[in-house]
Amino acid sequence: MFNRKHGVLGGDKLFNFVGTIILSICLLFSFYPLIWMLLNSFKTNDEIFLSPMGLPSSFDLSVYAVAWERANFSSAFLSSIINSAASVALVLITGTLAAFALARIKFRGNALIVKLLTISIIISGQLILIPLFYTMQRLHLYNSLWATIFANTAMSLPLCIYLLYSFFREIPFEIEESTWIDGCGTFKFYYKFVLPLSKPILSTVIIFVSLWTWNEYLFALTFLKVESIRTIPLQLQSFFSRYSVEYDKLFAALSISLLPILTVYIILQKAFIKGLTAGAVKM
Amino acid sequence: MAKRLVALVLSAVMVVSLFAGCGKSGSDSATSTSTSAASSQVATEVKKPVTLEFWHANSSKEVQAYFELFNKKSPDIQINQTVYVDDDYKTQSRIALAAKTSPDVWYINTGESLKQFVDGGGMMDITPYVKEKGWDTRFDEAAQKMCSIDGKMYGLPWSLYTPWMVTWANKDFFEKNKLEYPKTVDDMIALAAPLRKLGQEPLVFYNKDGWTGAILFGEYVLQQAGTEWIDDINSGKTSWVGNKEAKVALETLAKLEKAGVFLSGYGTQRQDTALLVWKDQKSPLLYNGTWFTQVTGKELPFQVETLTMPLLTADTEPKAYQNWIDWTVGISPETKNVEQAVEFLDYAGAVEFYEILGNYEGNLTPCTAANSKVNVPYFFNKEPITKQLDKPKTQYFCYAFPLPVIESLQTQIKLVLSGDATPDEALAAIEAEHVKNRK
Amino acid sequence: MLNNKKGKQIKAYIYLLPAAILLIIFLYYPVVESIGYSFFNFKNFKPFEFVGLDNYRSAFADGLFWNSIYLTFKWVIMNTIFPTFIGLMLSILVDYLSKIQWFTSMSRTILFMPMMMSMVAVGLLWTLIYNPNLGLLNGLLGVFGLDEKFIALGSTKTAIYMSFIPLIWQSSGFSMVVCSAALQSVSKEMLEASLIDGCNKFNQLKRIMLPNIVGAIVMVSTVNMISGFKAFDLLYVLTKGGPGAATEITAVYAYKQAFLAFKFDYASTMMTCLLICVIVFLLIFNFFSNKVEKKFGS
Repeated sequence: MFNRKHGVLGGDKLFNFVGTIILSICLLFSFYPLIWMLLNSFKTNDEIFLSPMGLPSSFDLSVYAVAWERANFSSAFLSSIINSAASVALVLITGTLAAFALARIKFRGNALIVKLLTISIIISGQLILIPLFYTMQRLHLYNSLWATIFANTAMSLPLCIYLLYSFFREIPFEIEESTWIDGCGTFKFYYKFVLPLSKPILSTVIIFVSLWTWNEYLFALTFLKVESIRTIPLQLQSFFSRYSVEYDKLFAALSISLLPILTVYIILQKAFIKGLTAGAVKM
Repeated sequence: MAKRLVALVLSAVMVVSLFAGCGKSGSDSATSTSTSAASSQVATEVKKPVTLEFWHANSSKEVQAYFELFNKKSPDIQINQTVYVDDDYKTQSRIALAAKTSPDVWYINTGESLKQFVDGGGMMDITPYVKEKGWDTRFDEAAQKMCSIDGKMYGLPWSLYTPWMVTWANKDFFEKNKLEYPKTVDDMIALAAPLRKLGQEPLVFYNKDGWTGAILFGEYVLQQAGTEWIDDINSGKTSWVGNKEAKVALETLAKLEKAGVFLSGYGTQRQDTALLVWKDQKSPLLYNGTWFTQVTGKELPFQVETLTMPLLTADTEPKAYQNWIDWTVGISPETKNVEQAVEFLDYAGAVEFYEILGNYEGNLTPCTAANSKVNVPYFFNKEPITKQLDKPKTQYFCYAFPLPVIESLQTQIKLVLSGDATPDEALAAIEAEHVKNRK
Repeated sequence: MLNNKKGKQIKAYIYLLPAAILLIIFLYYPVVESIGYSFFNFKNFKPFEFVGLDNYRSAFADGLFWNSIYLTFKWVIMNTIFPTFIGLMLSILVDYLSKIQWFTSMSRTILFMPMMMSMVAVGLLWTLIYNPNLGLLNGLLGVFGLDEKFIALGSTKTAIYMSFIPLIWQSSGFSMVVCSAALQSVSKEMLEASLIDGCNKFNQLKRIMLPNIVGAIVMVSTVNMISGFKAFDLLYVLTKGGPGAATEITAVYAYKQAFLAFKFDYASTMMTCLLICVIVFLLIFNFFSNKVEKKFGS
């Protein structure tokens, strides 16, 4: 309080005033489209046309039931959950092991592998899409969720290993030394000490991979053919093409696809934000 | 504490779904192997129902219900239908062709696509069954021809008679404002400014996906040349470069665009939003095939007048029309159950099917027996449509060439419309692509 | 001792193995194959004959390819700059404007929310927002008395910028959150000391905050840049490259060439060119960002 009174030279008032206006506009810009989407899902088609900005006359949830059923969201959610969870699990298992080896064991080619992984972050799904398509075919993974699981895992591994590697490297050597005295092997060190110490970065990896696989479109579009295993972005896209003029249902479908993840996000937002920044600051 | 709980829940979900994932794809492959095993032993074992994979992209509920009915009617043959979205199907069917993962029965575009699928081993010759099943009398002769190559039939015609070369006018609007219907391209251009002044979009046309541009281009080619134009250009007898008809067509498109005739923002609009502009009376003219009723409904809030689309000159007589069968349903040679597939194919192309499809869209069908039972809206029974029935017909231009050429054609039309390419540049680019694709 | 070391080395390779298998099969082999494809001619979806640099020659002669590269770079540069700086601005506003805790955290929650959406959903939502008949945009303009219909994606000149707005909407939140974290790590004592010295918030920002978060800004812009090169979903859903070829970045053009025209060879060629561009661009960017960091960093 004391500091404030002395520090203000008029500049702060201006800062606060301009800042508040800008922030309000940004908040509106950020939030209003989502509210608009939600409100429009309750309107009838005519209401949407006559007053795109107005409020709905009633809040009838039946449109959600229709959209849910037509877009086959129950199977889409299941596929998306399997897809994300399996990718996260695979990345965690293989990624932590690899990062551990790279960060804590000196061996030939170590530095080279790290460099290779860093460069690999830039590889886009587009570049490998066609050969990957043939690979999936050869391995008989095409048209099964394994195709997207493996592809997503491989795509996210370089960044994740790099993040984990940076974190693991900073675990003090003294800890490792002390475990030798207890007669711990490397694997025990990895699993009893490194993993529990790395919770922040593990949560980064979990959040990053689950978000990216949850929203992934290109691989799913190319590898998943049967409707029963198609993920949410695909079902949403095809719902939009198929019922393109039933706007109320389009808004409902969009809301359905978003609400669960938004709920998870709002509940876990601290973990989300912390997790993402933990990784980012490490880079 | 909360964190640990979250971690616990997350990992539990992960583990559970990982196993579920294994289970899911595992069981998928299990069923597929068991069916293939069943089909190879079908002769020896007790008759188990054969499951046929069937792909199509018809989103109408009536059509899907019709196929579900088949499963009830024939316990020995079960159909597993996969319904795609149109755009998506184009890709997925090609991927399946390349990967040899085609279903037992599927449908594909006629024209160059059919040739490609026959060459690639995706469509079976069904000529031996034609007489036996009476398909030769069930369908229009011209329609059968569209599904045949060199006299061999590869599929049943599977779409409706959905002619273009028409514009649909809001009659009430024209009468109220005492405006003349446009007959020629010049009329249309002259009409654009007054219509815009009235707060109207002159002509509804949309081209986000590019195929509409190809059809519009085709209309202006076919006002000058007959069906042989496509054959000649596909065989290399004529070239795109310096092609008079193609150049005139592209120039006409550019002229229309420059005069502001087309719906604002047509380059990124799709049919859904565009057609509603016409329905909502924000534009008095619509350029579209007759299937627009799928989007707008058959009952419109105004009287509809059917016009021939703006012609190059007042005395132009179109030589041919792109309005015939664009899809054909056939059997993949990879099927292990030919007999059952043929039986199902017969059902997929039955008279009842065309009644359902025809009434759904309100269009005439290639199945002559069904047409008497199809309820066609009044504006489809007008001369600009009916006179097309006996005229030479071709495949839509968005299907008439090898795929890379179609893609190039559609892109170049977009560029001509946006003013980024001259007609000559566009034609040179298309020819460069076509050269690589002629045999 | 030596044995132990060797044993450890072998263990390292064993630990690396699962990840290596996945990476080699599903990432590195496809990359190599993709580059390989660019030297072949395809027939019936399979490499047919070796054609050397022919595909590259036709790419270099293809105006649409150059157009797509130009647009890709435009997109990448926009993506490097705007979300980063808007995110930075937001983080300053959110962290620094108000001392009310719930307001700060609510703002952060809201601003980060669109980040949860897939690019496909963003694209679909914004096609509805931009829809000239029912869209939010025209509704808003109507509120301000502008009844003239605004076709957001209609003009070839502005379509690329209009398509970029959804991306700002979606991804500024990420930059904000990272910058926030960096801002919060600036020591409180330093800030309080500066207040006693009579600094106002502007000066505080300029002299204390910014130098301390240069590293974070560089990091965020690198991440944004890489994601800019990977852009595809949004434009494919929103414009499909149109109108004309005004938003046809290389990824969209290549996808169309691959899966609509089925020219896998040509698509691979273009993606390989893009890969080379990315590497070169990254190296240049890295060089300059190191300089910036050295100059401003503590």
